[in-house]
Parts: sequence; C-alpha cells; structure tokens
Amino acid sequence: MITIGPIVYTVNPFTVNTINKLAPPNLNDFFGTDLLGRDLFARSILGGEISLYISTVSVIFSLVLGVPLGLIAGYSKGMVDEVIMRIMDIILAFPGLVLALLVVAVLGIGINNAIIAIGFTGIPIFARIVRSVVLKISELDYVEAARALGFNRWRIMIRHILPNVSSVIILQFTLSLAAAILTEAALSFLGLGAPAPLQSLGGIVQEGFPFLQNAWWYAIFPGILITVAVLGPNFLGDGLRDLLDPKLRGSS
Amino acid sequence: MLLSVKGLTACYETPAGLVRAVEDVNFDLDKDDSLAIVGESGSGKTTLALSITRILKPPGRIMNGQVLFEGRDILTMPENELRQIRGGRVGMIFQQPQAYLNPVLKSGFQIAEVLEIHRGYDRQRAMQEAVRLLKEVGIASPEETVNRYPFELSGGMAQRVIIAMALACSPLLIIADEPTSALDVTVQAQILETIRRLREQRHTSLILITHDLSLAAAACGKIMVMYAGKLVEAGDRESIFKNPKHPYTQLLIASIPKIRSSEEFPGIAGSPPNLANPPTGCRFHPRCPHVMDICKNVEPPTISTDAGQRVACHLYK
Repeated sequence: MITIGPIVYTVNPFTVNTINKLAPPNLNDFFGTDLLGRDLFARSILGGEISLYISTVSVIFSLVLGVPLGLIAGYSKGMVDEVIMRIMDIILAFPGLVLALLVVAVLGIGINNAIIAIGFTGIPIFARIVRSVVLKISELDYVEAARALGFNRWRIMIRHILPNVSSVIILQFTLSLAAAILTEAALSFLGLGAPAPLQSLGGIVQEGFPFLQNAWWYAIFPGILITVAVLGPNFLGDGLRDLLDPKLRGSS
Repeated sequence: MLLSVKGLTACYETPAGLVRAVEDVNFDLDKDDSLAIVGESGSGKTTLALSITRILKPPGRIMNGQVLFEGRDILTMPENELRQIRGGRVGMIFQQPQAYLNPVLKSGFQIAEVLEIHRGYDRQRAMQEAVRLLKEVGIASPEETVNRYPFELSGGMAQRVIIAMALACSPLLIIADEPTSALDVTVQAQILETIRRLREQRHTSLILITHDLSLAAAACGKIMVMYAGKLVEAGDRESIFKNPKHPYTQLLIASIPKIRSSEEFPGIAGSPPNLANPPTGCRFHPRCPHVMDICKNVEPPTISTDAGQRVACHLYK
C-alpha cells in the first residue's frame, strides 16, 4: 500500500488547510486531517515511504558490512574469528535503540544519519548468523572438494560458500527489516529520525500523540501502518526462502 | 618418478591423545602406473590420500615425511604453488559424489570453473569443454546435464561429473578414494570401467583407495596393503595374489568370498586396534596366526623380497 500509494492517491500531503484542521476520517480524507488541516492519509503514505526507505537502506548497510565479516570469521576460524566476533559482541552488548540514539547524538539528526545509526546496530546480527552457517558449511565435503581442485580461499568463500548461505541471509534481511522499521519509528518518535516536514510514520505518531483523546485518528492510523509494515517483510521472507531454495524448486 | 612418498606420518589430535593414522609410509609411483591402497576402515587409507595433496585439515596434521611430486616436496610448497597442483596436476575423486558437489551450483558450472581457474578459459569455452568432458566420461545427454543441479543427478551421474572435474585439466595423477563404494554394483562396474578407459587414453597415473581387494586387482597393477596406519605389504598385483607374504595379506585374500565354494568363510578374528594406543611391536600381532615372541615387542622392518615385494613382518629375514 505504501509503495503504490503515491501513484493512486495524489492529494498533496503539504497542502495546509487550517479551516479543516483535525477533521475526523471522512470520504475526502480517509485518515482525517492533522493540526494544520493536512490530509493524514497522504502524509502517512509519504511517511511510510520515508520509513521504508530509511529502514531498507539501513538493513542493506548492515548486510553489506555484516555478511563479509561473518564469512571471513567463519571460514578463517582462530584469531581472525575471535577478533571479529568479540567486536561484534561489543556492538551487540548495547541495546539497539540506545546505540542508535548514541550514533544520532554523535552524527546529528538527518535521514542519512538515521540510516547509519540503524544500520550500524544491525551489523553483528548478520555477522553472527552468517558465521554460524559458514562454520557448518566449511566442514562439508564439497568445500574440501573445492580445495582439492586448487581454488583459493576467496573463491571458495564467495562462489562456493556464500550461495549456500544466501537463503539464511535473505531470511535475516526480512527479519532485520521489520526490526529496523520499528527502530526507525522509535527514533522518529523521539524526534531523532527524519526531520520535518518529511516526517516518517513514527514522527506523525509523535505529533498526534498529544491529541489521542480528541483526535484519535491522528496517531492511531499511522501506528497501524507501522504494524502492517513490520508484518509485511516477515511474510515476504517466508515466501522468498521457499522460492530461492533449489531443493524446493521443482526439477524440470 | 612421478610421485614419491617418504616416511609420511599423519596424526589426528583428539582428546584421547595423538592418533597416528598414517605412520612412516613409503611408496613410489611411476608415470602411467596404477597403485591400489588396500586396507580396512581406520587403516589410514583416506588420511594418506588427503595428505598427498595436503588437504588434510585440523584436527588432522602431517607430522613428518616428504611427498615428492615431480621431484618437488608438496608438504613444504607455498600455498599458491600447491593450488596449481591441486586440480591442475592431481585430480581427486571421492567416495560420496553427491556430497562433494556444491548443491547450489549447476554441474556444468562446477566443471567449467576448474578450467577457468587452471586453464584461463573464458566462460563460454569452459562450458563447451565441460560438455565435451561429460560426453567423454560417458554421460548420455551432456548438454542437459550441464544445466542440472547435483540433486537432480543420480549417484552414478554425480560420480561421472566428479570424474569430469578431476580430469578437466588432464592431470598427471588421479587419486580416487573409494570411488565406487557409495554406488550400487552395476554402476560400480561402469564407473570403474570408465576410470580404466580414461586412464588408458590419457596415460594418467592412478592411486585407488579401496577396502575391496578384488576391485584393487581389477583396476591396478600394483597393490599396497595397509594395516593400522602402517604399510604391511606392497608389490605387483600378481605377486601379491599368488604369493602373499604377510599373514594379514594372506588372510585378506583368503577372505574373498568364492562363489562356488561351500567352505566356511574364514575372516580375520578380532578387530582393528585403537590407534590412540596401538599395540607394541607389530601392530597386527594380537590378530596374527603366526605370532612369535619378537612380534610383541619389536616393530618389524620393511624388507624387500626377491620377487620385488616389500613386506613388514618378522617371518621374513
């Protein structure tokens, strides 16, 4: 809904109409209007886009850094593994949101900084899960066969082991995406996410929060959208995993 | 001399202590020769095979010895030179073909990759060569097979793909570790015939590792018998079968089932020793029918007989 919204629903989310402020949901404004009379449905769609953009890019950020670290740690074992994983443990020791707050506090408020903050906290999750699978796979016979054929370690890691980890990475991507959407919503709720007027869903919820008693739609509808956005990737992950596993694909 | 193994000793580090899986093994292999290494489970055959190309991985460790391949010691060679030899000059065939193919890569790609690495072929040329190799190893529809994933292949086909990978760069030596044990009997015969035919056409040397003496006799000119990590007897196929010297070899040959015979199947009493704590003296002495006092304390030296056999037994001086 968030992705196709802008195409089918073309009300300008920035149009201020103070006469029509805090209007309850009606046929014109499905979600009602906000304090400045802006259409909440249009705002929520835009906010959702921003939420999804920040969380997706930040999960890609954690994946791009976390997967190679896990791959190297799992395949190399020994000292390399110890050093990488202890650093990951340090990052993981902080609660995600606290760490993200810290990063934003250091870097300042802004969409890119929110991406870095959320992405950074997600690195160890990818590193850990990839490492654990790589540890298992690198003991398998076909990796021994690859060594017996004279392939170097990078080729073995990237061409032979990584594809066997891909279903786990994809699954983790969707789980992390759901978590990132929540973290992003929390950050924006605290005013540390995307700055106004390009507010994400969490920001709109925060705006509407004081009006919960007399204009319930202001915070509730964007909140429901967050819930839907968190559920979506989880279902997507299940579907993708089934699709990408060659053993579940019918043989031709 | 293509391959010369000298004093090779390999161990596994276990909580129970060092397990000497291969101890002081010596043998030579000429170009175009074929050698079968025979022994029961746990006699160190596979460890020996993995040690030759140094792919033995922890907890396994090569303690001692030399593996001279074309005069150069594989055990002290830098890793990047070793990679040229693995797959390029020495091909390996394994026991469980399905497990040795990567499940997420198409079989054609896996063959082509070897050619890309060792021969520098581009993808298209490597794929053409993969199709040709599959035809050569006896796959009926190579064009379709290259596009199949390993789980879509039967055991026999998967083993042929492995053979094609091993042969891709025309290696000088092929090490086949129980290549037919996981296959059913008719497929076994076909695979063996394929290996034999390719070896004749390409003049590749072969080391065949097997627990099956009759298979060894069918495929190889020379036979080496191992027991508990040690070489007990080695020689030509004919002399080993007609005139086995070591009591263990004699018992092994007597244990080959004979179809028309109604005799009791003799077998060998007892079981192989625990290599973390091997018997003193000759390792076979607890099971040997000809055991003497000296066998219990003194390790027998390997001596050469007039017929060109080598045997490690106190019966021969």
